Amino acid sequence: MKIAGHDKKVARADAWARRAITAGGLLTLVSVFAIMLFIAWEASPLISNPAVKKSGEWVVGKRLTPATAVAIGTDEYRNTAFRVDANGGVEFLSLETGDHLQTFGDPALKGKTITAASRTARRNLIAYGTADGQVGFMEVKYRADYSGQKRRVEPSVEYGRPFRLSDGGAVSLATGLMDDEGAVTVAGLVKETGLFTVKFAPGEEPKKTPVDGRGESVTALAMRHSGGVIAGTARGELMVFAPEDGSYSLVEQFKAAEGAISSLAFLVGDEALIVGDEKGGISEWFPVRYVRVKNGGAAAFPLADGAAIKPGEERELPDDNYGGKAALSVSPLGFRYMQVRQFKSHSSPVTAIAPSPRNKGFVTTGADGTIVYHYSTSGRTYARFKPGQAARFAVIGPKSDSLVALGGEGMLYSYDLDEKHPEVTLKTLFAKVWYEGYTKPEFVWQSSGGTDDFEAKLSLWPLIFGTLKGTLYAMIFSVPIAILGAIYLSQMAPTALRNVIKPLIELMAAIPSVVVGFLAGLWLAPALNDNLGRFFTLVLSVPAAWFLFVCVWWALPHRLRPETGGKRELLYILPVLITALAAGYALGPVTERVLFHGELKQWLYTVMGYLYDPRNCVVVGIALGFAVIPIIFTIAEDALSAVPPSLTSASFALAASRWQTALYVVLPAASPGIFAAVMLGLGRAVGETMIVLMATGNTPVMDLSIFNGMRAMSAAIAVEMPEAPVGGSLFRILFLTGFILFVFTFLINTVAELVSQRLRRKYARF
Amino acid sequence: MPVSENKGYREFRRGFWAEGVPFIWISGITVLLLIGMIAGLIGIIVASGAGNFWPANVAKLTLKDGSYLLGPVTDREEEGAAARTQVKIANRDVFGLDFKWVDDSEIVKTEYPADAAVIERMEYGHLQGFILSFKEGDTVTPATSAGFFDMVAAKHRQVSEAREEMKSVQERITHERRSLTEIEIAMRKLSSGPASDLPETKVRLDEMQKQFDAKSETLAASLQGPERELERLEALAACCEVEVAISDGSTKTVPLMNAVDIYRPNGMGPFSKAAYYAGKAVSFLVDWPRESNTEGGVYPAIFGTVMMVFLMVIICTPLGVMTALYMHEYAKPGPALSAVRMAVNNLAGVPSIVFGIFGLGFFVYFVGGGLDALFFADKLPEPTFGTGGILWASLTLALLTVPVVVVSTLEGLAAVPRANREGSLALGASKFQTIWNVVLPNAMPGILTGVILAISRAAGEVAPLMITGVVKLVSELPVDASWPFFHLDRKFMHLGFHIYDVGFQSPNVEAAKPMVYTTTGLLLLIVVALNLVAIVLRNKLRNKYRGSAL
Repeated sequence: MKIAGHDKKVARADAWARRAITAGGLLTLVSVFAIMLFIAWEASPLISNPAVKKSGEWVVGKRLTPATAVAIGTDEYRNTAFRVDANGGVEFLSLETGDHLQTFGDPALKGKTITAASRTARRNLIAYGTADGQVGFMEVKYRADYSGQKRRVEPSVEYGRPFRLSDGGAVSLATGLMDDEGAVTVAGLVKETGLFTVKFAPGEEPKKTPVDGRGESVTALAMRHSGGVIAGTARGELMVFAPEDGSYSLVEQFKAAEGAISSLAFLVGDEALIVGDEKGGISEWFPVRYVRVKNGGAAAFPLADGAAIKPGEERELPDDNYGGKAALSVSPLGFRYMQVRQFKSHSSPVTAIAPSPRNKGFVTTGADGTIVYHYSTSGRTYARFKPGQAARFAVIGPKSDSLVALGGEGMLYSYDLDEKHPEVTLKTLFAKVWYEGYTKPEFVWQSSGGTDDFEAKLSLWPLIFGTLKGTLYAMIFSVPIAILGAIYLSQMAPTALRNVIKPLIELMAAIPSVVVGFLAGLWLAPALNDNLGRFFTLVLSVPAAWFLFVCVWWALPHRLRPETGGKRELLYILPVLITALAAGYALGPVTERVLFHGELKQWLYTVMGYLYDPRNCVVVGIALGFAVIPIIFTIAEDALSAVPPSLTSASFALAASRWQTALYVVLPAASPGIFAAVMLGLGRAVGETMIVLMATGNTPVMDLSIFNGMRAMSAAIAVEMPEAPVGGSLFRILFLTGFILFVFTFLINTVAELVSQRLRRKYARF
Repeated sequence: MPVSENKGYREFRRGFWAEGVPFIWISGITVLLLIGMIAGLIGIIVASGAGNFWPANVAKLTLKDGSYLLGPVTDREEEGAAARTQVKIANRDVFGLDFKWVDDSEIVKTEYPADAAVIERMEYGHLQGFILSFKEGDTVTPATSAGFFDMVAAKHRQVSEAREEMKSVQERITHERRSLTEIEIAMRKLSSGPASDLPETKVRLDEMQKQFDAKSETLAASLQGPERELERLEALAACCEVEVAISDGSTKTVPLMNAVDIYRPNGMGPFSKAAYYAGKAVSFLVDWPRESNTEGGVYPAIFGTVMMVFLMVIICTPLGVMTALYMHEYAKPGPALSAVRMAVNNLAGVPSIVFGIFGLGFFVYFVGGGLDALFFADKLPEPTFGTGGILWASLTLALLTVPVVVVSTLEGLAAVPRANREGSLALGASKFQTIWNVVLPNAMPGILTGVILAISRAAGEVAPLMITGVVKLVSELPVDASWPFFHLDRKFMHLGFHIYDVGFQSPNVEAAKPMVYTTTGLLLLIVVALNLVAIVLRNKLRNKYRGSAL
């Protein structure tokens, strides 16, 4: 009985152990997939499009006639909305209940009618013009009050004193902005007398400046903080004015749309100009730096777009770093507007453009009441909808998370705007994008900038390119050394040497990458910077020593020749190698003086056009190679040693030499293993973080030059992840980068594993 | 027959292609280069890091214009006829720069005055100069008086002891006051919270205020002693200062309390230098860093590394051993085994930074954020576990090091002869009994090897830690005397990250260099020692069953 009970207990324990251990084993399997899926899941919101959800529909105070509203907006917390009416009154209403809260008014505007108004994107500054030719501004301010149990938002309105622009007719267009000192400039158009700007500086009399409109019929206005005024005309042309000696003069006039330009606005940052026309078209324009390039050389100078500047020819082109080319003479021409992209159009005239105060998104409203949300960087049109009653215009809320639209019947519509990641599309990640401040579409990685209106440049190519570049140089350095070393150690070296070197290589593999990276960054990079010429003579001295040794070896009579294959063969070559390295070291400065006019770095720049960056790919190649060598070496050596002795014995028995056996018998048999070794080394180089982080300058450049650095994917994750806002686009893109790394190494490892499995099965026969 | 069939050419061809002589030599050369690279790396670190604590002789370089530089010569450069010398002039607060290059042609005379003194300060690094006098209160003792330096050394010892004691008394007082601070925080929270207007809250606040007053009274009484003690120590520590003439001609007064060490290297013999060196090396290991990590010790980094590795081993060892047992003892050959093997290989090959972002996304934000929402909601939005910390870093590294344990354990399991297992099974033991009593004990060296290699890997891994909880400087260790003693949510310091941070993020990289080299040397020493142990263990395992019948 007792024994049976004990047996049962043992059997139960056995069964439990089986379950637990199986579960433990499968947990490893699960965790690999969990890692992959989780990272993919974190990156997945990138592909979702912004959504607009309706959240309220309120009629603004019934006692007002709806058509009189000229501007709308909301507070940051979306508790209240305001509506500016044609009589200058500002009415606040609750967005939660739709109740009317309070109304502000300005006695100075009594009896006047606002005929034109516009609101700036960043602050609720409203510039207006009246029917009797006055212009002015008002600012809606909110003060959050936390003193009670709940946050209360206290609205207020500050009215500026209006200024009479003209005695003639009504102001038909008005736009304004406020500079850092609090001075407000309003541009206003009166059909009869023309275009003027008025500067309202605090404590000063308003200052009126005429704009030389050349008698064109202006239909839309926009202003830049840098002082420019842009006007759109009935002929579809844009006129760019710049302030000059007490007036604004025309700098540029060009065709921008088919029909009359009906709406103009700058996105935050004042770089991107959005143009909406009468036919419903929407296009985006950047001011681009132009230069006059004259080809003074004898050969035609090829341009990026396939054309060429013939010798002696002169052209006006967007600046594309022509200054660095010796044959060209370049003179600056200033900025000119270029069309960057077009958006899916409205089917009716574009009546309003409202930029987001936070990013490069904007909404446009068509005359038929359709509201469309676009995003500049990605060039995408994401949402298109029509409120219950045709909207007159729509604005984006201060946190860029909401939309308010004014219906034709005086209704206010409030919408949730879930922007998700509008600046990220497959195109922005992997194709060239024309960013603000650039002269053409380019691959750029620049995830954060100094100002709020910075446009994130999130192209993955520079990072992928950087990773591949570093890997390439690391492999060039490590593969020959590791494989030749493995062949020597497994096939030629005496056992005593093997017993020393194998653990040594294992130790090499164990050296933390932060140590290697540290030495590369703080010792190798400066050393190389000071002794570049010496470095190359040192590198060349190794093959020179080899060549010399082999020549001498052959020249010697047979009995004096050091025997290959002996236990001491490395001892013969060691002094030769050391001598050669010493000679290389000593010859460095001499070579530099004689061949490169004193300094190699200078020569590289002036003659070859390479700029030498102290943290460059030579350093990375060596450091990363140092980390990769032990992996390739160990696995290749294992594969070579695993070739069954029956094969090598057979080869030796047929009188093949050591070398012939190694080359024709062992190497082919072990080649899948060596392939696997190189693959695993590649995987390590691709994912290595600390070395690339410390040994490169981390500049995301896109050229293969060995004398500058790069920014690798892994380093980008390590450096930028701590600063990336959780859930933001950069955060998710870094997860995507991690996913790419994961998939890449997963594929490499799987291929390597399959290859070595086949190899194992093959040898099992012997 | 072609012409080339002459004897010399035939021999050359045979030697070149058949015997492959040149290729054998070049492959031999690569092995030599490999050895050279490893030796070079270790050599550079040892050469640059080991001398850091050695009290270098202080040279006095008299220049042509009559002024002089005082400091250890750190470097020399020769370019043709022109040569220049780098001197560590120190006195950062006066000169701004630590190092200065001077052309040899400028130097008139080089001497090593025996009375040149170096004062290592708590702030601004070293002060180098000639001690003029010692001031205690109003009594001034000139440096020329007999037994001056012994007196200064004795006083300095006294002051240092007082300083140490001050620190512990201060800690005690803060500790005692903690309960008081807690009440204060709770009160503040209550009064600024959403329910602050309610009458119940007012009652509760009054109660708390009373409790607070009562407690502060009793505390004030019980802390009277320590506070008086503190005052006495403060007075003692601030008692004296030394006056030093520095090379720009001015004099500088250093309170003895701010001096870590005062010594005159030129007068020290090799033995006293060695003693100084040993003392510095010890304080490097047990002291906290000073001067934004560029001076002092690395104790918190060592502590953080050890603790993180310890937590990691607790997690990764069972997981790794179970996986290996499953693969070797339980799984039948088939897709499941292949998949697990593939998983282990992939886990070993996935870049460490990918583990890092997984750790950040999953452990920190997902699990940690969830824990915060459940248990620490009152502290939000200040995260407790929802931010990087030692627990999450350890878990991340545990995932990373599982394959290391698996591979080694597998090797250990494979080395246990079948005869042993069969013998056990034949005696009626169940499979698990066999594994537990026969297989695992015999495979123990393999498991241990795996654990050691995992430790060595984790000690040197930095990238995933950078985003899961490592910081450049902590004020508190993850283990201390306050409840619950183990603070797994705290951030920590790590030797590897310390190297990266001080070497690359420090404002004064040039001055930090010796410190980084020493830290690197320490890390390398740890990793190499661990690996040597692993290698020895594995060789033992391999030799153990070499003779037994398989």
